[in-house]
Amino acid sequence: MAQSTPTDKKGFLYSKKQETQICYEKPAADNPYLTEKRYLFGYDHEQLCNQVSYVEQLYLLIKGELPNVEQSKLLNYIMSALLNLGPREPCIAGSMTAAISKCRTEHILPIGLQLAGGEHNGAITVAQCTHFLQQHKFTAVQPVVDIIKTGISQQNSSQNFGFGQSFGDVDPIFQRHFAQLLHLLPHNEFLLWCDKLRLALQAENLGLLPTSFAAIGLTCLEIGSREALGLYQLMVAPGILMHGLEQTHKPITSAPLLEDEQYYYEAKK
Amino acid sequence: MKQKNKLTEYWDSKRNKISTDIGKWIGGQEVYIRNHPLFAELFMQYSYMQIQVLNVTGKLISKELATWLENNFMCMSYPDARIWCNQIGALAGMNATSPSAAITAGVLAADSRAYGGSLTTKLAMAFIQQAVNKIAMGQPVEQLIAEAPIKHGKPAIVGYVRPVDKKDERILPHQRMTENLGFKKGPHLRLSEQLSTFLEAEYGSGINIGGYTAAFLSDQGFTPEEGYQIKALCVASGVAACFSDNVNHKKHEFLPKRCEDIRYTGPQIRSL
Repeated sequence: MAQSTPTDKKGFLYSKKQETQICYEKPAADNPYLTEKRYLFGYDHEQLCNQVSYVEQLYLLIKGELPNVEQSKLLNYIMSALLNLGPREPCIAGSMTAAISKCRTEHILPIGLQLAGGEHNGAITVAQCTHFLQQHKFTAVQPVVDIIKTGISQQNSSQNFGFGQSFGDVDPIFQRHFAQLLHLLPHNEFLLWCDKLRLALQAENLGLLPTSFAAIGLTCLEIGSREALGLYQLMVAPGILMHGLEQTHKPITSAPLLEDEQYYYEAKK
Repeated sequence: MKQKNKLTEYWDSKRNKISTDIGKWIGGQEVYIRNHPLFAELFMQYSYMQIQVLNVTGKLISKELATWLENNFMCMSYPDARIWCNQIGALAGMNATSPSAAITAGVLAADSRAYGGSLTTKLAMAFIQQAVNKIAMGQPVEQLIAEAPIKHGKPAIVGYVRPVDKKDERILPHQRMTENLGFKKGPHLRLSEQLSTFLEAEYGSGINIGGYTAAFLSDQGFTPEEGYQIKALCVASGVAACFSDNVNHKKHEFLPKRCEDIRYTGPQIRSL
Protein backbone atom coordinates (compact mmCIF):
# COMPACT_ATOMS: atom_id res chain seq x y z
CA MET A 1 0.00 0.00 0.00
CA ALA A 2 2.93 2.35 -0.68
CA GLN A 3 2.36 5.81 -2.19
CA SER A 4 2.74 5.87 -5.94
CA THR A 5 5.11 8.33 -7.57
CA PRO A 6 3.69 10.39 -10.41
CA THR A 7 5.52 10.31 -13.72
CA ASP A 8 6.98 13.76 -14.35
CA LYS A 9 5.60 14.99 -17.67
CA LYS A 10 5.39 18.77 -17.25
CA GLY A 11 1.71 19.65 -16.65
CA PHE A 12 0.35 16.11 -16.86
CA LEU A 13 1.40 13.97 -13.93
CA TYR A 14 0.56 10.35 -14.57
CA SER A 15 0.52 8.04 -11.57
CA LYS A 16 2.66 4.90 -11.52
CA LYS A 17 -0.27 2.95 -10.07
CA GLN A 18 -4.02 3.07 -10.45
CA GLU A 19 -5.82 3.36 -7.15
CA THR A 20 -9.15 2.32 -5.67
CA GLN A 21 -10.87 2.55 -2.34
CA ILE A 22 -13.41 -0.12 -3.27
CA CYS A 23 -11.39 -3.30 -3.34
CA TYR A 24 -8.27 -4.65 -1.70
CA GLU A 25 -6.85 -7.87 -3.10
CA LYS A 26 -4.58 -9.74 -0.73
CA PRO A 27 -2.07 -11.75 -2.76
CA ALA A 28 -1.30 -15.41 -2.20
CA ALA A 29 1.89 -15.98 -0.24
CA ASP A 30 3.73 -17.61 -3.14
CA ASN A 31 2.17 -15.84 -6.13
CA PRO A 32 1.84 -12.04 -6.17
CA TYR A 33 -0.59 -12.16 -9.12
CA LEU A 34 -3.06 -14.56 -7.49
CA THR A 35 -5.68 -13.12 -5.15
CA GLU A 36 -5.94 -15.05 -1.89
CA LYS A 37 -8.69 -12.87 -0.40
CA ARG A 38 -10.75 -10.00 -1.72
CA TYR A 39 -12.08 -7.22 0.52
CA LEU A 40 -14.78 -4.69 -0.38
CA PHE A 41 -14.40 -1.45 1.56
CA GLY A 42 -12.57 -3.50 4.18
CA TYR A 43 -15.08 -6.37 4.44
CA ASP A 44 -14.19 -9.92 3.46
CA HIS A 45 -16.20 -10.46 0.28
CA GLU A 46 -16.87 -14.13 1.00
CA GLN A 47 -18.24 -13.18 4.41
CA LEU A 48 -20.44 -10.55 2.75
CA CYS A 49 -21.77 -13.18 0.34
CA ASN A 50 -22.80 -15.35 3.26
CA GLN A 51 -24.32 -12.69 5.47
CA VAL A 52 -25.40 -9.70 3.41
CA SER A 53 -27.94 -9.41 0.56
CA TYR A 54 -27.01 -8.46 -3.00
CA VAL A 55 -28.73 -5.08 -2.64
CA GLU A 56 -26.83 -4.36 0.59
CA GLN A 57 -23.55 -5.24 -1.11
CA LEU A 58 -24.45 -2.97 -4.00
CA TYR A 59 -25.11 -0.13 -1.55
CA LEU A 60 -21.73 -0.85 0.03
CA LEU A 61 -20.06 -0.56 -3.38
CA ILE A 62 -21.80 2.76 -4.04
CA LYS A 63 -21.46 4.39 -0.63
CA GLY A 64 -18.58 2.62 1.07
CA GLU A 65 -20.74 1.60 4.04
CA LEU A 66 -23.46 -0.98 4.52
CA PRO A 67 -27.01 0.40 4.52
CA ASN A 68 -29.43 0.54 7.42
CA VAL A 69 -32.77 -1.25 7.06
CA GLU A 70 -34.56 1.77 5.55
CA GLN A 71 -31.82 2.48 3.02
CA SER A 72 -31.73 -1.16 2.01
CA LYS A 73 -35.50 -1.29 1.52
CA LEU A 74 -35.46 1.94 -0.48
CA LEU A 75 -32.70 0.79 -2.84
CA ASN A 76 -34.38 -2.59 -3.22
CA TYR A 77 -37.66 -0.89 -4.16
CA ILE A 78 -36.05 1.48 -6.68
CA MET A 79 -34.22 -1.42 -8.33
CA SER A 80 -37.38 -3.52 -8.43
CA ALA A 81 -39.44 -0.70 -9.95
CA LEU A 82 -36.91 -0.19 -12.76
CA LEU A 83 -36.28 -3.90 -13.34
CA ASN A 84 -38.43 -3.97 -16.46
CA LEU A 85 -39.50 -0.81 -18.28
CA GLY A 86 -41.52 -2.82 -20.77
CA PRO A 87 -40.89 -4.07 -24.31
CA ARG A 88 -41.70 -0.70 -25.96
CA GLU A 89 -39.08 1.27 -24.01
CA PRO A 90 -36.38 2.08 -26.61
CA CYS A 91 -33.54 0.43 -24.69
CA ILE A 92 -35.52 -2.80 -24.42
CA ALA A 93 -36.98 -2.55 -27.92
CA GLY A 94 -33.39 -2.18 -29.14
CA SER A 95 -32.18 -5.29 -27.35
CA MET A 96 -35.18 -7.21 -28.71
CA THR A 97 -34.50 -6.00 -32.26
CA ALA A 98 -30.82 -6.94 -31.98
CA ALA A 99 -31.70 -10.33 -30.56
CA ILE A 100 -34.38 -11.24 -33.10
CA SER A 101 -31.97 -10.29 -35.91
CA LYS A 102 -29.53 -12.86 -34.48
CA CYS A 103 -26.76 -10.64 -33.19
CA ARG A 104 -24.27 -12.38 -30.93
CA THR A 105 -25.94 -13.04 -27.60
CA GLU A 106 -23.24 -11.31 -25.58
CA HIS A 107 -23.99 -8.02 -27.37
CA ILE A 108 -27.64 -7.85 -26.34
CA LEU A 109 -27.14 -6.31 -22.92
CA PRO A 110 -24.48 -3.74 -24.00
CA ILE A 111 -26.66 -2.66 -26.93
CA GLY A 112 -29.61 -1.99 -24.64
CA LEU A 113 -27.43 -0.27 -22.08
CA GLN A 114 -26.08 2.10 -24.72
CA LEU A 115 -29.62 3.04 -25.67
CA ALA A 116 -30.50 3.48 -21.98
CA GLY A 117 -27.67 5.97 -21.71
CA GLY A 118 -29.38 8.69 -23.71
CA GLU A 119 -30.32 12.25 -22.99
CA HIS A 120 -34.01 11.80 -23.87
CA ASN A 121 -35.26 10.34 -20.61
CA GLY A 122 -32.31 8.02 -20.29
CA ALA A 123 -29.39 7.72 -17.92
CA ILE A 124 -28.10 11.22 -18.75
CA THR A 125 -31.49 12.58 -17.72
CA VAL A 126 -31.19 10.78 -14.39
CA ALA A 127 -27.89 12.57 -13.76
CA GLN A 128 -29.43 15.91 -14.78
CA CYS A 129 -32.46 15.31 -12.58
CA THR A 130 -30.31 14.29 -9.61
CA HIS A 131 -28.29 17.48 -9.96
CA PHE A 132 -31.49 19.51 -10.41
CA LEU A 133 -33.06 18.01 -7.27
CA GLN A 134 -29.92 18.63 -5.24
CA GLN A 135 -30.02 22.28 -6.34
CA HIS A 136 -33.72 22.91 -5.78
CA LYS A 137 -34.82 20.58 -2.97
CA PHE A 138 -36.77 22.26 -0.16
CA THR A 139 -37.32 25.43 -2.21
CA ALA A 140 -40.82 26.61 -3.19
CA VAL A 141 -42.20 24.09 -5.66
CA GLN A 142 -43.99 26.42 -8.09
CA PRO A 143 -40.79 28.00 -9.47
CA VAL A 144 -39.39 24.47 -9.87
CA VAL A 145 -42.50 23.46 -11.81
CA ASP A 146 -42.10 26.57 -13.95
CA ILE A 147 -38.52 25.61 -14.84
CA ILE A 148 -39.67 22.11 -15.80
CA LYS A 149 -42.60 23.47 -17.81
CA THR A 150 -40.32 25.87 -19.66
CA GLY A 151 -37.97 23.03 -20.54
CA ILE A 152 -40.84 20.88 -21.77
CA SER A 153 -42.40 23.68 -23.82
CA GLN A 154 -39.04 24.28 -25.51
CA GLN A 155 -38.87 20.55 -26.24
CA ASN A 156 -35.45 20.72 -24.67
CA SER A 157 -34.94 17.25 -23.28
CA SER A 158 -31.99 18.33 -21.16
CA GLN A 159 -34.21 20.85 -19.40
CA ASN A 160 -37.22 18.71 -18.48
CA PHE A 161 -35.15 16.87 -15.87
CA GLY A 162 -37.02 13.62 -16.35
CA PHE A 163 -40.47 15.01 -15.57
CA GLY A 164 -43.28 15.33 -18.06
CA GLN A 165 -45.62 13.06 -19.95
CA SER A 166 -45.55 9.64 -21.50
CA PHE A 167 -47.43 9.56 -24.83
CA GLY A 168 -49.18 12.79 -23.92
CA ASP A 169 -50.30 11.88 -20.41
CA VAL A 170 -49.04 11.31 -16.91
CA ASP A 171 -47.35 7.94 -16.43
CA PRO A 172 -49.58 6.20 -13.86
CA ILE A 173 -47.10 3.48 -12.93
CA PHE A 174 -44.32 5.74 -11.75
CA GLN A 175 -46.67 7.97 -9.77
CA ARG A 176 -47.65 4.83 -7.85
CA HIS A 177 -44.02 3.75 -7.49
CA PHE A 178 -43.26 7.15 -6.00
CA ALA A 179 -46.17 6.72 -3.57
CA GLN A 180 -44.55 3.46 -2.46
CA LEU A 181 -41.26 5.25 -1.74
CA LEU A 182 -43.22 7.65 0.42
CA HIS A 183 -44.95 4.71 2.08
CA LEU A 184 -41.53 3.22 2.93
CA LEU A 185 -40.21 6.51 4.35
CA PRO A 186 -43.33 8.52 5.30
CA HIS A 187 -41.43 11.11 7.34
CA ASN A 188 -38.56 11.70 4.94
CA GLU A 189 -38.43 15.44 4.37
CA PHE A 190 -36.99 15.16 0.88
CA LEU A 191 -39.66 12.72 -0.27
CA LEU A 192 -42.35 14.92 1.28
CA TRP A 193 -40.99 17.87 -0.71
CA CYS A 194 -40.94 15.70 -3.86
CA ASP A 195 -44.58 14.83 -3.18
CA LYS A 196 -45.47 18.53 -3.16
CA LEU A 197 -43.62 18.86 -6.46
CA ARG A 198 -45.50 15.83 -7.83
CA LEU A 199 -48.85 17.35 -6.88
CA ALA A 200 -47.96 20.69 -8.43
CA LEU A 201 -46.87 18.93 -11.61
CA GLN A 202 -50.05 16.84 -11.63
CA ALA A 203 -52.10 20.04 -11.76
CA GLU A 204 -50.34 20.73 -15.07
CA ASN A 205 -50.96 17.18 -16.37
CA LEU A 206 -47.29 16.42 -15.83
CA GLY A 207 -45.64 13.85 -13.62
CA LEU A 208 -42.75 11.59 -12.80
CA LEU A 209 -41.15 9.43 -15.45
CA PRO A 210 -38.84 6.47 -14.75
CA THR A 211 -35.82 8.78 -14.89
CA SER A 212 -37.12 11.29 -12.35
CA PHE A 213 -38.37 8.44 -10.15
CA ALA A 214 -34.85 6.97 -10.20
CA ALA A 215 -33.29 10.35 -9.51
CA ILE A 216 -35.64 11.03 -6.58
CA GLY A 217 -34.92 7.66 -5.01
CA LEU A 218 -31.16 7.90 -5.50
CA THR A 219 -31.06 11.51 -4.27
CA CYS A 220 -32.95 10.35 -1.19
CA LEU A 221 -30.06 7.91 -0.63
CA GLU A 222 -27.63 10.81 -1.11
CA ILE A 223 -26.15 9.24 -4.22
CA GLY A 224 -24.37 11.65 -6.59
CA SER A 225 -25.43 12.42 -10.14
CA ARG A 226 -22.65 10.51 -11.90
CA GLU A 227 -23.29 7.42 -9.81
CA ALA A 228 -27.04 7.82 -10.41
CA LEU A 229 -26.42 7.83 -14.18
CA GLY A 230 -24.59 4.51 -14.08
CA LEU A 231 -26.94 2.95 -11.55
CA TYR A 232 -29.93 3.71 -13.76
CA GLN A 233 -28.29 1.67 -16.51
CA LEU A 234 -27.60 -1.11 -14.02
CA MET A 235 -31.14 -1.06 -12.69
CA VAL A 236 -32.85 -1.27 -16.09
CA ALA A 237 -30.43 -3.98 -17.23
CA PRO A 238 -32.49 -7.05 -16.23
CA GLY A 239 -35.41 -6.04 -18.45
CA ILE A 240 -33.08 -5.27 -21.35
CA LEU A 241 -31.34 -8.60 -20.97
CA MET A 242 -34.28 -10.91 -20.49
CA HIS A 243 -36.50 -9.36 -23.18
CA GLY A 244 -33.56 -9.68 -25.54
CA LEU A 245 -32.70 -13.23 -24.56
CA GLU A 246 -36.31 -14.29 -24.99
CA GLN A 247 -36.18 -13.14 -28.62
CA THR A 248 -33.03 -15.17 -29.36
CA HIS A 249 -35.17 -18.30 -29.21
CA LYS A 250 -37.53 -17.05 -31.95
CA PRO A 251 -37.08 -16.93 -35.73
CA ILE A 252 -36.13 -13.61 -37.36
CA THR A 253 -39.59 -13.51 -38.96
CA SER A 254 -41.37 -13.39 -35.61
CA ALA A 255 -41.09 -9.58 -35.43
CA PRO A 256 -42.50 -7.12 -37.99
CA LEU A 257 -40.38 -5.77 -40.83
CA LEU A 258 -42.20 -2.79 -42.31
CA GLU A 259 -43.40 -3.15 -45.91
CA ASP A 260 -42.45 -0.62 -48.62
CA GLU A 261 -45.87 1.00 -48.37
CA GLN A 262 -45.27 1.66 -44.68
CA TYR A 263 -42.06 3.53 -45.47
CA TYR A 264 -42.48 7.13 -46.62
CA TYR A 265 -39.41 8.60 -48.25
CA GLU A 266 -39.38 12.14 -49.50
CA ALA A 267 -35.99 13.56 -50.33
CA LYS A 268 -35.21 17.18 -49.59
CA LYS A 269 -34.88 19.17 -52.77
CA MET B 1 -51.23 20.75 -22.85
CA LYS B 2 -53.28 18.65 -25.29
CA GLN B 3 -56.91 17.75 -24.74
CA LYS B 4 -57.66 14.20 -23.61
CA ASN B 5 -59.47 13.19 -26.82
CA LYS B 6 -56.56 14.32 -28.98
CA LEU B 7 -53.85 12.63 -26.95
CA THR B 8 -53.04 9.80 -29.28
CA GLU B 9 -53.48 11.42 -32.71
CA TYR B 10 -49.85 12.36 -32.92
CA TRP B 11 -48.67 8.87 -31.96
CA ASP B 12 -51.23 7.21 -34.24
CA SER B 13 -49.83 9.21 -37.17
CA LYS B 14 -46.44 7.60 -36.61
CA ARG B 15 -47.57 4.09 -35.70
CA ASN B 16 -46.37 1.27 -37.98
CA LYS B 17 -44.68 3.61 -40.41
CA ILE B 18 -41.38 5.39 -40.98
CA SER B 19 -41.27 8.82 -42.61
CA THR B 20 -37.85 10.10 -43.57
CA ASP B 21 -35.77 12.10 -46.02
CA ILE B 22 -32.49 10.24 -45.54
CA GLY B 23 -33.06 7.52 -48.09
CA LYS B 24 -34.75 4.29 -49.01
CA TRP B 25 -33.81 0.75 -49.96
CA ILE B 26 -35.98 -0.56 -52.80
CA GLY B 27 -35.21 -4.25 -52.55
CA GLY B 28 -33.85 -5.79 -55.76
CA GLN B 29 -33.67 -2.42 -57.53
CA GLU B 30 -31.98 0.62 -56.09
CA VAL B 31 -31.05 2.50 -52.93
CA TYR B 32 -31.51 6.23 -52.53
CA ILE B 33 -29.16 8.13 -50.26
CA ARG B 34 -30.44 11.67 -49.72
CA ASN B 35 -31.97 11.69 -53.20
CA HIS B 36 -28.86 10.21 -54.87
CA PRO B 37 -29.31 6.73 -56.41
CA LEU B 38 -26.50 4.55 -55.09
CA PHE B 39 -26.02 2.26 -58.08
CA ALA B 40 -27.00 4.68 -60.86
CA GLU B 41 -24.90 7.60 -59.58
CA LEU B 42 -22.66 7.06 -56.58
CA PHE B 43 -21.24 3.55 -56.84
CA MET B 44 -17.66 3.48 -58.19
CA GLN B 45 -17.82 7.27 -58.68
CA TYR B 46 -17.59 8.55 -55.12
CA SER B 47 -15.42 7.53 -52.19
CA TYR B 48 -16.60 5.81 -49.03
CA MET B 49 -15.87 9.00 -47.08
CA GLN B 50 -18.04 11.05 -49.45
CA ILE B 51 -20.92 8.63 -48.92
CA GLN B 52 -20.39 8.60 -45.16
CA VAL B 53 -20.62 12.39 -45.00
CA LEU B 54 -23.62 12.30 -47.37
CA ASN B 55 -25.37 9.83 -45.09
CA VAL B 56 -24.66 11.86 -41.97
CA THR B 57 -25.20 15.39 -43.22
CA GLY B 58 -26.96 15.23 -46.58
CA LYS B 59 -23.99 17.06 -48.13
CA LEU B 60 -22.19 15.48 -51.08
CA ILE B 61 -18.73 16.84 -50.35
CA SER B 62 -15.91 17.31 -52.85
CA LYS B 63 -13.28 14.63 -53.45
CA GLU B 64 -10.73 17.01 -51.95
CA LEU B 65 -12.65 17.38 -48.72
CA ALA B 66 -13.20 13.62 -48.55
CA THR B 67 -9.46 13.09 -49.09
CA TRP B 68 -8.75 15.56 -46.29
CA LEU B 69 -11.09 13.70 -43.92
CA GLU B 70 -9.75 10.29 -44.88
CA ASN B 71 -6.19 11.37 -44.17
CA ASN B 72 -7.35 12.99 -40.96
CA PHE B 73 -8.89 9.66 -39.90
CA MET B 74 -5.50 7.98 -40.56
CA CYS B 75 -3.96 10.25 -37.97
CA MET B 76 -6.60 9.59 -35.32
CA SER B 77 -6.01 5.90 -34.89
CA TYR B 78 -2.50 4.76 -34.08
CA PRO B 79 -1.65 1.08 -33.52
CA ASP B 80 -0.29 1.72 -30.01
CA ALA B 81 -1.94 0.03 -27.05
CA ARG B 82 -0.77 2.67 -24.59
CA ILE B 83 -3.52 4.93 -25.93
CA TRP B 84 -6.60 4.47 -23.79
CA CYS B 85 -9.12 3.34 -26.42
CA ASN B 86 -6.57 0.98 -27.93
CA GLN B 87 -5.96 -0.53 -24.53
CA ILE B 88 -9.66 -1.42 -24.50
CA GLY B 89 -9.14 -3.13 -27.87
CA ALA B 90 -6.13 -5.03 -26.51
CA LEU B 91 -8.02 -6.14 -23.39
CA ALA B 92 -10.97 -7.19 -25.56
CA GLY B 93 -8.60 -9.17 -27.77
CA MET B 94 -7.09 -10.87 -24.75
CA ASN B 95 -10.60 -11.70 -23.54
CA ALA B 96 -11.39 -13.05 -27.03
CA THR B 97 -14.47 -10.92 -27.60
CA SER B 98 -15.82 -10.52 -31.11
CA PRO B 99 -13.94 -7.89 -33.14
CA SER B 100 -17.13 -5.85 -33.36
CA ALA B 101 -17.40 -5.78 -29.57
CA ALA B 102 -13.75 -4.78 -29.26
CA ILE B 103 -13.95 -2.00 -31.82
CA THR B 104 -17.22 -0.56 -30.56
CA ALA B 105 -15.92 -0.71 -26.99
CA GLY B 106 -12.79 1.16 -28.05
CA VAL B 107 -14.84 3.68 -29.98
CA LEU B 108 -17.00 4.24 -26.89
CA ALA B 109 -13.91 4.69 -24.74
CA ALA B 110 -12.68 7.39 -27.11
CA ASP B 111 -16.04 9.17 -26.90
CA SER B 112 -14.27 11.25 -24.31
CA ARG B 113 -13.99 14.90 -23.40
CA ALA B 114 -10.21 14.45 -23.01
CA TYR B 115 -9.12 12.87 -26.30
CA GLY B 116 -10.31 10.72 -29.19
CA GLY B 117 -11.59 12.97 -31.95
CA SER B 118 -15.32 12.32 -31.64
CA LEU B 119 -16.75 14.22 -28.65
CA THR B 120 -13.64 16.42 -28.67
CA THR B 121 -14.43 17.42 -32.27
CA LYS B 122 -17.90 18.56 -31.22
CA LEU B 123 -16.58 20.44 -28.19
CA ALA B 124 -13.69 22.02 -30.09
CA MET B 125 -15.96 23.04 -32.99
CA ALA B 126 -18.46 24.59 -30.58
CA PHE B 127 -15.60 26.48 -28.93
CA ILE B 128 -13.99 27.82 -32.11
CA GLN B 129 -17.34 28.79 -33.66
CA GLN B 130 -18.32 30.72 -30.53
CA ALA B 131 -14.82 32.19 -30.34
CA VAL B 132 -14.99 33.51 -33.91
CA ASN B 133 -18.28 35.20 -33.04
CA LYS B 134 -16.81 36.73 -29.86
CA ILE B 135 -13.74 38.02 -31.70
CA ALA B 136 -16.03 39.50 -34.36
CA MET B 137 -17.81 41.34 -31.56
CA GLY B 138 -14.52 42.84 -30.40
CA GLN B 139 -13.33 40.47 -27.67
CA PRO B 140 -9.52 40.20 -27.56
CA VAL B 141 -7.83 36.79 -27.80
CA GLU B 142 -6.32 37.23 -24.33
CA GLN B 143 -9.76 37.59 -22.76
CA LEU B 144 -11.05 34.58 -24.67
CA ILE B 145 -8.31 32.47 -23.13
CA ALA B 146 -8.70 34.04 -19.70
CA GLU B 147 -12.32 32.80 -19.64
CA ALA B 148 -11.17 29.17 -19.79
CA PRO B 149 -10.72 27.20 -16.55
CA ILE B 150 -7.15 26.28 -15.60
CA LYS B 151 -6.36 22.56 -15.43
CA HIS B 152 -2.91 21.03 -15.08
CA GLY B 153 -1.58 24.59 -15.00
CA LYS B 154 -2.92 25.45 -18.44
CA PRO B 155 -6.17 26.89 -19.87
CA ALA B 156 -8.48 23.94 -20.50
CA ILE B 157 -9.60 24.63 -24.06
CA VAL B 158 -10.52 21.56 -26.06
CA GLY B 159 -8.19 21.40 -29.03
CA TYR B 160 -5.29 23.31 -27.54
CA VAL B 161 -3.48 21.01 -25.17
CA ARG B 162 -2.93 17.27 -25.24
CA PRO B 163 -3.20 14.90 -22.28
CA VAL B 164 0.45 14.13 -22.97
CA ASP B 165 3.00 16.92 -23.11
CA LYS B 166 4.34 16.33 -26.57
CA LYS B 167 4.09 18.59 -29.60
CA ASP B 168 1.39 17.29 -31.92
CA GLU B 169 3.13 15.66 -34.87
CA ARG B 170 -0.04 15.87 -36.95
CA ILE B 171 -0.31 19.64 -37.29
CA LEU B 172 2.34 20.30 -39.90
CA PRO B 173 1.22 17.44 -42.21
CA HIS B 174 -2.35 18.67 -41.89
CA GLN B 175 -1.34 22.24 -42.70
CA ARG B 176 0.45 20.98 -45.82
CA MET B 177 -2.50 18.79 -46.77
CA THR B 178 -4.92 21.70 -46.42
CA GLU B 179 -2.76 23.81 -48.71
CA ASN B 180 -2.01 21.04 -51.21
CA LEU B 181 -5.69 20.20 -51.61
CA GLY B 182 -6.40 23.84 -52.41
CA PHE B 183 -8.28 24.90 -49.27
CA LYS B 184 -8.00 28.50 -48.15
CA LYS B 185 -7.83 29.42 -44.49
CA GLY B 186 -11.16 30.69 -43.24
CA PRO B 187 -11.92 32.68 -40.08
CA HIS B 188 -11.83 29.59 -37.83
CA LEU B 189 -8.40 28.37 -38.96
CA ARG B 190 -7.04 31.91 -38.78
CA LEU B 191 -8.28 32.38 -35.22
CA SER B 192 -7.04 28.92 -34.22
CA GLU B 193 -3.54 29.93 -35.36
CA GLN B 194 -3.73 33.07 -33.25
CA LEU B 195 -4.86 31.09 -30.22
CA SER B 196 -2.15 28.50 -30.77
CA THR B 197 0.59 31.12 -31.04
CA PHE B 198 -0.60 32.82 -27.85
CA LEU B 199 -0.91 29.57 -25.88
CA GLU B 200 2.45 28.29 -27.13
CA ALA B 201 4.14 31.48 -25.99
CA GLU B 202 2.37 31.67 -22.62
CA TYR B 203 1.95 28.02 -21.66
CA GLY B 204 4.26 26.03 -23.96
CA SER B 205 1.30 24.17 -25.42
CA GLY B 206 -0.28 25.05 -28.73
CA ILE B 207 -2.96 23.64 -30.96
CA ASN B 208 -3.54 19.91 -31.20
CA ILE B 209 -5.11 17.92 -34.02
CA GLY B 210 -8.57 18.27 -32.44
CA GLY B 211 -8.31 22.04 -32.51
CA TYR B 212 -7.00 22.07 -36.07
CA THR B 213 -9.68 19.67 -37.31
CA ALA B 214 -12.40 21.63 -35.54
CA ALA B 215 -11.29 24.89 -37.12
CA PHE B 216 -10.97 23.34 -40.58
CA LEU B 217 -14.37 21.60 -40.46
CA SER B 218 -15.94 24.82 -39.17
CA ASP B 219 -14.47 26.68 -42.14
CA GLN B 220 -16.05 24.01 -44.36
CA GLY B 221 -19.48 24.86 -42.94
CA PHE B 222 -20.11 21.85 -40.70
CA THR B 223 -21.93 22.19 -37.39
CA PRO B 224 -20.39 20.74 -34.19
CA GLU B 225 -23.03 17.98 -34.19
CA GLU B 226 -22.18 17.08 -37.80
CA GLY B 227 -18.50 17.01 -36.90
CA TYR B 228 -19.26 14.66 -34.00
CA GLN B 229 -21.22 12.29 -36.24
CA ILE B 230 -18.65 12.32 -39.03
CA LYS B 231 -15.77 11.60 -36.66
CA ALA B 232 -17.60 9.16 -34.37
CA LEU B 233 -15.67 6.08 -35.52
CA CYS B 234 -12.31 7.70 -36.18
CA VAL B 235 -10.29 5.60 -33.71
CA ALA B 236 -11.67 2.29 -34.96
CA SER B 237 -8.69 1.05 -36.95
CA GLY B 238 -6.13 1.52 -34.15
CA VAL B 239 -8.44 -0.29 -31.75
CA ALA B 240 -8.77 -3.10 -34.30
CA ALA B 241 -4.97 -3.32 -34.59
CA CYS B 242 -4.60 -3.70 -30.84
CA PHE B 243 -7.41 -6.24 -30.76
CA SER B 244 -5.76 -8.36 -33.43
CA ASP B 245 -2.40 -8.11 -31.64
CA ASN B 246 -3.89 -9.70 -28.53
CA VAL B 247 -6.68 -11.93 -29.76
CA ASN B 248 -4.67 -15.12 -29.53
CA HIS B 249 -2.98 -14.28 -26.26
CA LYS B 250 -3.65 -15.95 -22.94
CA LYS B 251 -5.91 -14.30 -20.37
CA HIS B 252 -4.00 -11.66 -18.35
CA GLU B 253 -1.06 -11.72 -20.80
CA PHE B 254 -1.57 -8.09 -21.80
CA LEU B 255 -0.16 -5.87 -19.05
CA PRO B 256 -0.56 -8.37 -16.18
CA LYS B 257 -0.74 -6.70 -12.78
CA ARG B 258 0.31 -7.98 -9.41
CA CYS B 259 -2.15 -7.37 -6.58
CA GLU B 260 0.23 -4.68 -5.31
CA ASP B 261 0.08 -2.84 -8.65
CA ILE B 262 -3.31 -1.45 -7.63
CA ARG B 263 -3.02 0.99 -4.75
CA TYR B 264 -5.81 0.41 -2.23
CA THR B 265 -6.99 3.58 -0.52
CA GLY B 266 -10.12 2.34 1.24
CA PRO B 267 -10.87 1.41 4.86
CA GLN B 268 -8.71 -1.04 6.77
CA ILE B 269 -9.86 -4.65 6.94
CA ARG B 270 -12.92 -4.86 9.22
CA SER B 271 -15.48 -7.39 10.46
CA LEU B 272 -19.21 -7.49 9.84
